[in-house]
Amino acid sequence: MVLTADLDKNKKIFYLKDLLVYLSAIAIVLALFCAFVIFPKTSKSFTGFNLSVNNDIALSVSFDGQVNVSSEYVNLIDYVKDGDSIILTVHSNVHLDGYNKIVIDLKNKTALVSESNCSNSKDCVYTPKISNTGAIYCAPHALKISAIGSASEFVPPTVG
Amino acid sequence: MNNALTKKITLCAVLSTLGALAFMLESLFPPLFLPGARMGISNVFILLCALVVGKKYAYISLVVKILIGSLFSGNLSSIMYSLPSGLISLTVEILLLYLIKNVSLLSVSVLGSVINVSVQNTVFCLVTGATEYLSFLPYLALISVFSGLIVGLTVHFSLKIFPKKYSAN
Repeated sequence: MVLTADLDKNKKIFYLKDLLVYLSAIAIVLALFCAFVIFPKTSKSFTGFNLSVNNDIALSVSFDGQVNVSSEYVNLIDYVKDGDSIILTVHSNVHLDGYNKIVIDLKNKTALVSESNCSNSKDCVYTPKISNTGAIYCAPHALKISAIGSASEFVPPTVG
Repeated sequence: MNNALTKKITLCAVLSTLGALAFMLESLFPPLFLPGARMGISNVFILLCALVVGKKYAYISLVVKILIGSLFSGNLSSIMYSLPSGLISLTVEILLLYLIKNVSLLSVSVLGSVINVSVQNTVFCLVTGATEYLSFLPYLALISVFSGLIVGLTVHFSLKIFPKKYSAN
């Protein structure tokens, strides 16, 4: 059965049964807000940012200026302290020429990716800056930047 | 007999091409919060296909739109995020339109776009393991309500001026 027979009737913009549908859409949105905004995971203390490559922590920066680099990535990461922020350049061990430049602001406690040559769409550069929730993920370089304490418990399936 | 089938196939092909073009154009916009989530402008053509051609052809044009759109726009992984969300939201919309008959197109597309965006986001978080992105989910669902309203208005008004001789009946 095809609805083309109903093309003759003018379908109205508002029917009474619409209210059911709108209510269920609003209920879904409210449930999502409750689950993620009103009752969030309590972050006890927000001490710094973790940078992980392929889900192993490669680098951690704490807000008193300390930078700890794990031993396998020492020659792939350079960092420069520039006033109130730390600028990291992370070279990728997945692509030979790939790099991501990350700016961590110690006073405002935010992190963002300022430039990268990962792909055409550069999703990591366009992701807005994060503080204690959210993460910046660069998929071609397998890079993840997130706050310490908001660890994800999933082990991701290998794709591709 | 042959005429009706040819009309259906041609309509379905034209609408799925337009949907694939809209999909590719959407992927050119810089992403708002996270990669993979997009404004649902291509849902206009899929909903039109479900109304004008038929249920089976709507599913076919959805699959064609996603495959061709992501092949030509360059990121193949968007198939993984868009296909389950498109199938689920199209099923819900067709159930609403055919079982509960007196619903307007606005509400159907609002619900479809909320489901679309939430399923896309959840699949993305499950696949990449970055569960921190789930915190963007409520704001994306709120924005998708407005984009669903725009899609619904477009389909409503384009159905009023749709010429009867092109309808496959």
